[in-house]
Amino acid sequence: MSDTHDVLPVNQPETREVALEVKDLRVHYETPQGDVIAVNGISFEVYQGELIGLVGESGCGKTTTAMAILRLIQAPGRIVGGQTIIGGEIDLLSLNSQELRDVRWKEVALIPQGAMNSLNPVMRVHKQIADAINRHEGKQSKKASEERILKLFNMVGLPSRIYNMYPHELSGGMKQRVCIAMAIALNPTLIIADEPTSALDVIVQRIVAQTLLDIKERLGASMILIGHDIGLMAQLVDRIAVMYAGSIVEIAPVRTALTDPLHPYTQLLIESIPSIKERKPLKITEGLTHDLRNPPPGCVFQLRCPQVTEACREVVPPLQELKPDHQVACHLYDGQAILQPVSLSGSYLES
Amino acid sequence: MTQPLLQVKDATKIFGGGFLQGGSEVVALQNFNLTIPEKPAKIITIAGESGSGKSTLANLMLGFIDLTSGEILFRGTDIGHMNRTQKLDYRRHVQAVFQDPYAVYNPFYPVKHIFDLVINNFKLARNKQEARDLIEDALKVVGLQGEEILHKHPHQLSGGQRQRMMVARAYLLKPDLIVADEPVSMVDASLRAMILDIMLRLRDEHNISFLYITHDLSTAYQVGDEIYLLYQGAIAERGDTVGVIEYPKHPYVQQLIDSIPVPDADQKWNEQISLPDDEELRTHADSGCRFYPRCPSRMDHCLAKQPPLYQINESDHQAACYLYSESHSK
Amino acid sequence: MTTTTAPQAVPKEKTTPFVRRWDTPWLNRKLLFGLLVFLAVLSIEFVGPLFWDEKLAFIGAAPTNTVPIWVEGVPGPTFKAANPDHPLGTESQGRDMLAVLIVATPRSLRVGLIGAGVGMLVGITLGFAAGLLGGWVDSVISTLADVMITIPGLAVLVVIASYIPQVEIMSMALIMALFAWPLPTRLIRSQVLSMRERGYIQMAYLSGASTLDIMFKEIMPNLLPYLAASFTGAVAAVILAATGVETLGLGPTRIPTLGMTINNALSFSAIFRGMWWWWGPPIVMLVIIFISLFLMTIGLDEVANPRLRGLQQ
Repeated sequence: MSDTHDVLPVNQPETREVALEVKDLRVHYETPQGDVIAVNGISFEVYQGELIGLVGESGCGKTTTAMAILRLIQAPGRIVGGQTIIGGEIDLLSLNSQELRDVRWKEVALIPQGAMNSLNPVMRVHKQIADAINRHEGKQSKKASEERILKLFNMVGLPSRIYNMYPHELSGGMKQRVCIAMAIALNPTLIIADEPTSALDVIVQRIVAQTLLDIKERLGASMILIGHDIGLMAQLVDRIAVMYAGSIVEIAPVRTALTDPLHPYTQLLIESIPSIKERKPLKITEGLTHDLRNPPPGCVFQLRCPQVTEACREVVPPLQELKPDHQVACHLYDGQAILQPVSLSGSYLES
Repeated sequence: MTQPLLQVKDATKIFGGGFLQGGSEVVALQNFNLTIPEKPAKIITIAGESGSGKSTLANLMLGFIDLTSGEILFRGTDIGHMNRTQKLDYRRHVQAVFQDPYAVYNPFYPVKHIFDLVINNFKLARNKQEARDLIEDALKVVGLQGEEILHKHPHQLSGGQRQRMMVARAYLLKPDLIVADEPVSMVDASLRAMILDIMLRLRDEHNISFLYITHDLSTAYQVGDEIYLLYQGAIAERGDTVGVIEYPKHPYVQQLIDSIPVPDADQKWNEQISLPDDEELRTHADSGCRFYPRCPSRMDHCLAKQPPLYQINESDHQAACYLYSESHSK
Repeated sequence: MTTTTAPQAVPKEKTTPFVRRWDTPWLNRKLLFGLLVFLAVLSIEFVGPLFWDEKLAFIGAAPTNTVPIWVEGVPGPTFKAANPDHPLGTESQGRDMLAVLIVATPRSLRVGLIGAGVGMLVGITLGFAAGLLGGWVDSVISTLADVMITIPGLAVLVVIASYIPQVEIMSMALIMALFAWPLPTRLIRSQVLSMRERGYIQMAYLSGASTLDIMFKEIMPNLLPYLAASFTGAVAAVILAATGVETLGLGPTRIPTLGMTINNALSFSAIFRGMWWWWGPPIVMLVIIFISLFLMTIGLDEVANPRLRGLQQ
């Protein structure tokens, strides 16, 4: 039985095309008391046509990762190292500003957090989308522009009568869909959506989420969905990557991550999801974390891990593939990694 | 029957639309009724989305704004007509925990300040030692220790610690009711259980009732006793939490619960839904059911008048929908 | 109810209180340098008389029109050669310039400090009242402040000052205060309006705090940098206005102030006669005062608007 939604495309891992490869990305924020390590050398891949979720709690570095991929990090933050390679060729971090501007929006688009509140309040919505198009493709003819924008509205399920409206005249869900329309205006191959539904009501969230899925399929694009709502991820994504304090601790197909999480943090996250189906006793854990300026040597999760060992306090566990397409960074599984390197980039360690 | 602790009778709050202000008016809350008994302590959930009126209800209950019509009676006395002494007394019995665990602390003072304010204004202690003991006791209830944190400033503590201290502060007065307005929505997912557990323990071990205001039905399902679901200022459905969530009757509530994303890759949303393009907020007090434009079961007479709450079977379960009127069910 | 708890870990946190940390924004260079210079100018009142005779600042106390000691010869027949008893020279009425500086500077400063002080007190009271109480109180105060801001202050001050027969430091300062209060009122009002909505103010109400408590214990401490910056700005504005009025001759005549000295110089055609040591020193002193106040104001602005204050949760 094949459930086309979350099982990997027909290609085997070795032959799937990679839309985005992030290698050892590091981002620091300068503070008077020292550098805060926001993203601590993460590596992952996004395959062509897949929807991967990046999940974690506040401060884990997921938004920073999204901004870093598009080189939108501003002082006091700075990208300290790593590569972000699109389509196997272009390393975004090595482009000059002109080249970067060509790539941004056309190849990689971002729907930033709180996008719906960042729409220009004094500009009609069609003009804002037109601006985005004109800036990257030069000035379009009025008629062509109008046709194109109306088509975009249609794709995201917006009625054409909002064409001349101002953002404050639209509801939250509509504003968010305008932002999505803006992001897909230039047909990007990769779309990054940062908390696209966080501020929305449950029913509107469903509609916007449906819209995201819909346009991804229609454009054939790949998508990174960043959020903290695992329930939402379960409905949408193919694979899920879990971040904690600047590092990725687990990457797995979403079904496996939910039914059989391997990393203690993932387990903790899954267990804390309150169920709407049955009443259960609450699972409580302490929330103390380390100072991001002074991460303890060894595993980032050691202070909260119920299964911490001596090795955890000394050696950083690398992200290793334990099962096909399931990677975990945890000493509990030392020695169980699959022997053959399966990634095209060779970013996994061989055991 | 003894007097209830708090009784909200036909409460209506309309914003704007006055003679001098002009502009359109918004009916934030309409004919809201709620009774909180003296005992046993209960966790009553007020659930709703944005525009439902739940924050307005919190502000009304806490005495920050006045009603347009109706009354809120605290042990028989209307809180809208209280003098300063009575209001102070009211605050002794009804306290609050708010959503943002950072904004509620004055950044100029160490966190101990929030306890000092309460102790000094309500004269809870005769000397410094007594005050210190009271604070330690309250902190113990929420699982924190005084020496470690009282002298710190808010930015030096984690969000979970700050929110727990807020609950400790509310507990200090041993109130009868705590209005918790979205107490866990700005707390990390893995730490929410801790705060919810404190609420349960305060109910069971200290007889403190909670008015738990939230948009998150999952947490409401886990900890609430009774639930009131608001839609655009009016009660759509109310009753025992488990009953309402497992067997919702109002079409809005059914759609709402169905749209909650379940963390199970095998349980996807059933079908695509769509919304009508306009989502206007209630403007007139007398109009038909506000869910009419989106309701799959709408009938002509739904537009005539706002449906009252109809009883569903024998329990407290009620839904404001003509589908459940006696004439319809026959 | 079953609960499970993970092992506790105590984070190593610095526990020093907020202001004592070395990286506190109050220790920024602009503020410190400005403050240092201003204090040095203030100290002239106490240190000056120890080294020099203040009585030389009065008319006829010294020979007239001597040049400062570093000048060779004399620029004209009416001038006398440099006199080592009067290193900064003397002016046409026999006042020794060094003594004049020592006497006039504190007096001008006093006008500034008192005028700004009174103006700020009024501004704080009205600003808080308007911001916290709202309603008609706010409407009345705001309208009044707005009207005062639009009235050309200097012109009115000149008229008022010309009606008072004997202007002294105190009356000067109070007249200046009349125009010093509207801007602080507006600034403080808008700060209070924005702070009023903060969560901790609601919490304070819930904890039984009275409106006065909220004003002084909750809002005011957080406004200290703003208030300080407003004050230093007001001092500079008052000194400037007072000097302007004095330059027209409408200030205290018996004992010199910086502005009156300039006025004297003008009435004796000092510029035309090339007596730069008469009008020069007061101007230099005024410039030093303004620069130090300016530095303090922008230094305090930095405290009030933290751009980068370290990591916050």
